[in-house]
Amino acid sequence: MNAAAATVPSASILSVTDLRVTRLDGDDLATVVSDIALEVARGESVAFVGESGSGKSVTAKSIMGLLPRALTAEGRVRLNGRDVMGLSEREWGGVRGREVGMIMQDPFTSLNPIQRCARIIGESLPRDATLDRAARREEVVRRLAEVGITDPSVADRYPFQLSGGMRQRVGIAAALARDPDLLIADEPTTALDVTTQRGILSLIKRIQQARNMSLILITHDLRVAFATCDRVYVMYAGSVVEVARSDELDREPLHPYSSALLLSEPPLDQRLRELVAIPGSVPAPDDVAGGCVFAPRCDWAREECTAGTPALREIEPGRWSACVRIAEVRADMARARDAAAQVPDQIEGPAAPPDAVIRVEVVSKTFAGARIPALNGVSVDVAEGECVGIVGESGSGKTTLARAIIGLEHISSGSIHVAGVDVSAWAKLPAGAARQVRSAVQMVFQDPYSSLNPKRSIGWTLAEAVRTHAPRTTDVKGEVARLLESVGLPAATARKRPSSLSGGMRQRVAIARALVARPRVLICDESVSALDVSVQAQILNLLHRLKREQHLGVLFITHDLAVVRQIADRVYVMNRGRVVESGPTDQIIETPADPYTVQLLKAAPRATNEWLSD
Amino acid sequence: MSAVTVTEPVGERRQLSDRWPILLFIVRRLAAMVVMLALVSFLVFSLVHLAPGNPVDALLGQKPRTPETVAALTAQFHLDRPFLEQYAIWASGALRFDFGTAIQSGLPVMTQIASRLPVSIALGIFAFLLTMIVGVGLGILAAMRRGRTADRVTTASVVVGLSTPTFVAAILLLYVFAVLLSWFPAYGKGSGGLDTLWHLTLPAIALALGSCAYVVKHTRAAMIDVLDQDYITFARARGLSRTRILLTYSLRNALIPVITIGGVVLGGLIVGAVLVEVTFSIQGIGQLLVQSAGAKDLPVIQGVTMLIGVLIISINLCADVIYMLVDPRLRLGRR
Repeated sequence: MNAAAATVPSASILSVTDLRVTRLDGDDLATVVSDIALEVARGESVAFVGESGSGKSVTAKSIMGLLPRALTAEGRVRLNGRDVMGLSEREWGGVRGREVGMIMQDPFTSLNPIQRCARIIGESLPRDATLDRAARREEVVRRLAEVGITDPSVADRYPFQLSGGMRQRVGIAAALARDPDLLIADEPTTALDVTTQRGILSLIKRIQQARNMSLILITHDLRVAFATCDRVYVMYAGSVVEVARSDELDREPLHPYSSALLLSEPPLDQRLRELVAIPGSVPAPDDVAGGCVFAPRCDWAREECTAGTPALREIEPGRWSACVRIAEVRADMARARDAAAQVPDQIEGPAAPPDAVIRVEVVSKTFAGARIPALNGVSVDVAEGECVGIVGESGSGKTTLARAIIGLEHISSGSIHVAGVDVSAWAKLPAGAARQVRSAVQMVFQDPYSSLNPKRSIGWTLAEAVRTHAPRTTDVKGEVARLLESVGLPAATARKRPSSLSGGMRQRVAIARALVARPRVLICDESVSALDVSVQAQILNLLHRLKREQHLGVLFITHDLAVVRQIADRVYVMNRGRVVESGPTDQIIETPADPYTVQLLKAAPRATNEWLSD
Repeated sequence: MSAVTVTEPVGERRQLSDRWPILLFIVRRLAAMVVMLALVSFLVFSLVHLAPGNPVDALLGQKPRTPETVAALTAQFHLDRPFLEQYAIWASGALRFDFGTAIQSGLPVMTQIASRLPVSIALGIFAFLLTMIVGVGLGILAAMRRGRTADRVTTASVVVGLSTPTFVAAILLLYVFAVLLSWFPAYGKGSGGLDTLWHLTLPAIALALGSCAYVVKHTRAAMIDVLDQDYITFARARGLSRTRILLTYSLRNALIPVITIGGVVLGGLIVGAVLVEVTFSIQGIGQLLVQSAGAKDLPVIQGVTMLIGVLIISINLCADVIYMLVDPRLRLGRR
C-alpha cells in the first residue's frame, strides 16, 4: 500500500512505508498508529490533520527517531534515500537539524530556560562552521532577522523574557539553523494567541517557499492546513483515511470522516442552524482494528465496512480514500454538506436584556504589583435565555471578569450585581444572599480533566452537588439520572469514574453539575477550547439546546470568533482589560468598528492562501 | 502574553537589571539575618533561666555552693540586675565574640571554641564534599538508567541510607574498618595534613551516609524531571551532541534545585557532627558541646549554640545567593 507514491514527483525527500508504532502498557502492546505510508517531495508542503489520538504527532516523531521511551516504531522511513529507522543516537546527531528539523508545539517549554537566545541559536548552527565570536554573533542576528526579529538585543535575552510568539520565532530560528531539507512543525501555534498564530504560520510558509524546503505541518485545524500546505493527509485513530490536494479536499472530501471534520468546524462567515457534530469520540486504534476505523461513528457504515481493514485506494488522480463505500455515498455526503450549510431563517432577536441576571458596571481591577489594570471600566449585562459572548486573547482580562462575577477575585472599583444582589464585596455578603447568588450563577471551567474529582464516580460527584444545592431532594438517584439525561449522557455514566470518560463526556458532566443549582446564567470559561472540533460541536449544540429549552442564560468566554458566531446573540470584544466593542454578534463580525476587532477577524483561520499572505 | 508585535521593546537597563535584584536580595536577606540572630541569641541566653533551679545553681555546675562562689557568680553574671539588662550585657559581649568564661576549664569560651573549630570544619567540609560528589553522581546515574539495574540498586541503597541513624553507621564503620580490619584509626584527629585526612575518613563517611542518600534521591528526581522536558527533545531534534545536551541542558537545569538541598545538607552535617565526634573521640565542637552539656557548662553551651546558629543561617544565605546566580529566572524576575 504505497499510497502517495504515485501522487508526487520522484524527487521525494521522505518516504514512509508500513510504519507501525506500539506502546508497551504493562505487558500489553497497544497500537498507536499502523500501516502508515506517506511521501513528501522536495519543496512540497504537506499537512497531517487529525484530532487528538489520531497519531499525527507520533508519526512525525518516529520520522525523527524522537519517540518517547514507551513507544516503539517498526516499518521503513527513508530520508533523502537513506533508511533511518535503525540509526543510533550518535548517527542521528548528523541527520537531525541538517536533514530534518522540528518546531515544537509549546514555545514556553521547548527552549532551555537558562540560556540566552544567542546561545540557543548559536549552538544550533552547523557544527563544521568555525566562526569566531563576532562572526557567530552576526550570524545569530541574521538568523533572528530571518524569522522577523529585527531587534538584535533579543539575542541577549532569556526565553522567559519574551512573549510566546517571540519565543516561537526564536525556536524556528534554532530549528532552521542547520538549514534542514525537511521541517516538521508540530502544532506550532496551538499554544499561541490567534493574532500570533497567523504571523507564525505565514512566517513558516514564507521561509519554506524562499528556501524551497519541504514542510510537514501537524495540525488539528483543516483550515490552517488548507491555507498553509499543498497536500493533506487526514488521520484518524492511528490510520490515514484520506490523502488529497488541499484545494480538492476543501471542495469535496472523499471520506466521511474528513467530511464530518470539515462540517464540525464552526464557520466564521455565517451562523448555522446547528453545527454538525460527530457522535461519540475518537476510539483507541485497537478497538476499531480489523475494519474501517471510522465505522462506529459513521452515518453510512454497513457490514462491509467492518469486514476487513480498508486500504487507501486512488479514487481520482492524486486522491486517495480509505472509504470502501465512497462510490455509493459520495452524492449523499454532498447533500449532507449542503444541508448543513443552511442558515437559519431568522436568528432570535437579541433584544436589549430587560432584566439582567448579571450586571457588571464600570468594573476595574488591578492586581497587586501590576502596572496595567487587568480590568479597566468594564460593563457587561447578561439576562436569562440569551447567550452573551466575551471574546479576547490571553491577557485581555476575560477570565478575571468571570472570576470576579463568581466572587473569586476582589474588584478595585465599580459594581457587580448578580440576581439583584450587590456582590462587589463577596466577603461581606450575608450567608443567605451568598447562597442565592451562587445558585443564580454557575461556572463551567476550561479543563474537564482537572475539574472533576478523579477518585469519585460521576454519580457521587453529581449527588454531592444535589445535596448541596437542593438538600430537600428525596430521590437523589433519580435527580442524578435526570441531570445526566439533560446533557445527553446515559444514566449508566453515573457508575463511571472521570478517567474512563472522554473529554467531551467529562465536559457534559461538568455542565450537569453546574445545572444542579438550577442557575439562571451559566458562565463557560473557554469550556470548549480543550476539546476536539467534533466534540466541541457537540457541546456547543448542547449549550444551545439548554438555552432554548431551559431559558438558561450563558456567558460564553472564548478566544475563538467562529465559536462565538455560532452560539452568542451579543458579543463583547475585550483587549487589555477594556471592552473595545460590543453589540449583536452578526453586526460586530460583519461590520467591526474597532481596529482590534478587525485585527482579530483577520487573524481567524480561513481555508485559503490569502489568509496568510495579506 | 499578549504582545503581538515582533519588535517588542527591550529594556536598555538590561545591564543594571541583571545585577540590581541580586544586591537588593542580599541586603534584604542580611537584614532578616540580623533579626533572626537577635531572636536566636535571646533564646540561647534564656537557657540559663530555663534550666531547672535558680540560675546560680545552673551556673555553679558541680562546684561547691558557698556564699563566696554565689556572690562571685552573681556579680560575674549580673544576676542581681533585671532579666533584660542581663541579656543586654551578655549580647553586647557576644557581639565582640566574648561569651564569658567556661565553668569547667576556666578559659574564655571563645578560646576553647577556636581551638576545636578547625577539626570540626575539616570534618564538615570532608563530609560535605563526599555527600555532594557521590550523591549527585549516583543521582544522575540512576536517572539516566531509569528502571534498570543501576537505578534499582541505587534507589534501594537510598532507603537503607536514609533509615540508618548516624550513630549506628558510625559504630558499624568503626567496628568493621578500624577494629576488625584496622584500615583506619579508631579515634583522634591525627597530626595534621594527610594524617588528619586519614583519621577523618571514617567519621566523614559515617556523617555523609544519610545526607548522601538524601542528595541521591533529590538529584535523581530533579534529573528525571529535566530529562522529560520539551527542551531536551528540542535539543535532540536540532542534532546537538549528547555531551552538550548532558552538560548544558540536563545537568545545569537539574542541579539548580540540588543547590538548595546542598544548604540543607550542610546544616544537617553540622548537627550530625555532634554524635560522630563523640563516637570517634574527635576533639571538635560537637564533642565540646556534649561535654559541656554533661557538665552543665552553660557559657560554653550558649557560645557553641550561637555559633551553630550563625553558621546555619549563613550557609542558607549562601545557597540562596548561588541559586539566584545560577538561575536567570530568579535573578531577572519571571514575567
